[in-house]
Amino acid sequence: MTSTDLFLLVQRVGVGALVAMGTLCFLVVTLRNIMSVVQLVLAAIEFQTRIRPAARSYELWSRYADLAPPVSVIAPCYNEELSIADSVRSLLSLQYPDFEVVLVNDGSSDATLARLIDEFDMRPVQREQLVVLQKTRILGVYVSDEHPNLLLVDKENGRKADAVNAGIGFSTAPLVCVIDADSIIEPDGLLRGTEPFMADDGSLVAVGGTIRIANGSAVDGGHVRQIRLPAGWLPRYQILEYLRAFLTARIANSRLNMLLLISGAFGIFRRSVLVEIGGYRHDTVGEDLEIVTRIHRHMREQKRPYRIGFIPDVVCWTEAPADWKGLRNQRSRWEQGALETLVRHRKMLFNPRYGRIGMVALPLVIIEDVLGPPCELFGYLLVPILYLLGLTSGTVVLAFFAITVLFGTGISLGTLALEELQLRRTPSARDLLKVAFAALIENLGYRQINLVFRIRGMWRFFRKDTVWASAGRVGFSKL
Amino acid sequence: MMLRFPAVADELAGLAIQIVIWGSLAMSALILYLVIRRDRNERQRSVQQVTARTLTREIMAALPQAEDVGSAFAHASVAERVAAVSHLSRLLRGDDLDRLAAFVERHELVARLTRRVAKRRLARRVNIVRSVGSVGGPQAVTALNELLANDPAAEVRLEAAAMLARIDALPSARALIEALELAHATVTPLHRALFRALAPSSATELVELLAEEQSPDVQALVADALGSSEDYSVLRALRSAAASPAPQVRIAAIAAISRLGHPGGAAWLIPLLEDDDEMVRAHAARACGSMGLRAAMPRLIALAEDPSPWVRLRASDAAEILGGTA
Repeated sequence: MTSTDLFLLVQRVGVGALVAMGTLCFLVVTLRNIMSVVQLVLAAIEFQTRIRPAARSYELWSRYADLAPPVSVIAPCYNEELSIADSVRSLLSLQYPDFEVVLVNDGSSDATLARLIDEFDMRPVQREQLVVLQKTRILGVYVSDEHPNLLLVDKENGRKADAVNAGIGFSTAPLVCVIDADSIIEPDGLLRGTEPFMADDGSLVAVGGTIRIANGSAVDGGHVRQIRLPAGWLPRYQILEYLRAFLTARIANSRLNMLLLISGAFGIFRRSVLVEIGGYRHDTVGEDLEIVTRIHRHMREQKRPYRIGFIPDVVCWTEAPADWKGLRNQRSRWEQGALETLVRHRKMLFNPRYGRIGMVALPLVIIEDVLGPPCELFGYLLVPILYLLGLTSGTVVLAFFAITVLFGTGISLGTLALEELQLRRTPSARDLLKVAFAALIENLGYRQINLVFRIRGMWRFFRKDTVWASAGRVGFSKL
Repeated sequence: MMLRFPAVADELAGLAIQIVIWGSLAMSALILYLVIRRDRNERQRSVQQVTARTLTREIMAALPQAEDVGSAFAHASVAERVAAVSHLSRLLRGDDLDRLAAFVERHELVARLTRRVAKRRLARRVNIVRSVGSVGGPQAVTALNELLANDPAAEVRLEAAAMLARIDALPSARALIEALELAHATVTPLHRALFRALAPSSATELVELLAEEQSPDVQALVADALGSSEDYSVLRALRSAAASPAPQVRIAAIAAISRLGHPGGAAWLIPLLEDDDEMVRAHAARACGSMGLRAAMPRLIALAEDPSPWVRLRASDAAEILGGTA
């Protein structure tokens, strides 16, 4: 073989590899878009055929309060001395017949504990922990004579998963509602969230609900008083992302009983199931995805009938990162968490024993979270290069950008239309137009930067970086 | 020969571009339409509010006499008429409420709502049931009973029962058990709410049912409902239920006596603190606390050593309420 032959061989292999990679990128972005369309259609069908929550439940529950399944709301808090009193007052004012609030102070280094003790007149008590799931030491338990349904657990720092586990150990209700301390639950959020349990045959093990972004809205006393659109574009793009995630992906997945994620900001679980599986894992940054995946795995391995539900109605508000650094940290963490969960539960992948979870839901996570970000980002560079090298036509290049950028806009607008037709929580026609405009421009920069953040999350995963990077919130607007 | 994307890729790419462009245009058109519709609705909101108020006034004016209603009523849709009647039915009482029911019958609102109901899809049927329930009156009761007995979907039958409970017109307990197929279905909190709503008017029937051969779940349902009967003559039946071999029936009896709050139940409630089943012991401890049975204190204190953490917790809470320490 001459050197020319060798050069030609290397050139052909190199070009072949480029074309193969280009084809893979094209296939992956096409598959992701097909998934999005299927999810949008399924969500539209679900909205069209669903039986809306009825006032009758609330009426009957108010007449027979003790029939409402008791709920323990577990709110872990860390260094939140400025906002914790408002958050707790908001939780105590929830409309629900029978609930307790279990606050877990996760070793705050500021005055969170003192503030709570002082504000709610709390005193230390001896309280037996029903089950020990946390890894750290409990430092004290406090109750309030003023609020008999408030319990404060003080413990050493161990991150959110450990704090929630401690709270589960002290909770006494059959249902636990796990939230973030800065989540703003709608006044009737618990009623809506537990409504599916009212007519349940015992197979429902967890329920998630729609979460919205409260940036820009007027928040006072721990309640959203007036829904307003945020002034910045970054939170507006995230409004669209939340709409796509909650109103299409989760509703569609829930309809097919393959919901893998219940947001950490609000989720209701059967306490017994959480205890059976040992509570939240401490060694992942994506504990909310991991725990739902583990529930699926546990129930399927035990061959027990079960359901994980989702309610499209808004139950909770949260604050989205308002700057790029916070967004980067959040998205990197989500990506890292997804990869950690996939690796931990790889045994379920393509395993018929785990039914549609192993055969469909987890493989879709691979397309979305493993292949998707690098293929799309790499495709933006590779496909034009292939064109410049004369390896593909301009039509293919145009198609790639149409599928990613233009179709992304179409999907966002479709989701926004679904929201307007079914829930109508966008404040006004003018705001609806603004969000629609955000849908047009989010694909020209924001989408691509997000892909970079997710690839950073992959890097963190491979480096086994376990540092919790904060999303850096700035607080809510007052009235 | 150089490798390159095959020609078919061009064709597929062309097709993809077409789909993407038309799909995105369609979505853009839809959102534009929704924005315009929303804007129009926002501008017309005050007009709609005025129309709704006029409609309500016209109905109120027409209640005393069987005359024609005004033009707003004539031009209103069935949904608008139902909304107005439903709003009034929550405000009116006594004779006025009876006149509203007569008005509903004269204008055949229930008949209009339930027309071709069997051909509607499930979610729509449930909505119709809710609308009929919100209108109220004898025709609504007949229509709801019809749906409760005959609709093929369990969801619609359950909704019909809930609406009948709302207007205090539930059928007999036996009819309810049959319509909701409770002999085979899992009993849920909603079923328990329905039976509690039935209890004040059907205590005798429930006591008879409790004495009959029923599944433990139905027995528990009936025993629980007796706690809402407001009738102390059911105490003997509850005592029998507390001796049932099925733990869920014993727990239901405890829940019932706890709600009735009659100290006559103490004689059988306190011994249940030593029941074999831990959940029965836990419920009994809680009931002793809520009923203020100080005679239970020695046994509650002994439960501090119970192997079940739930029993220890409930006994401790009860003892604290009663002024001691378990």
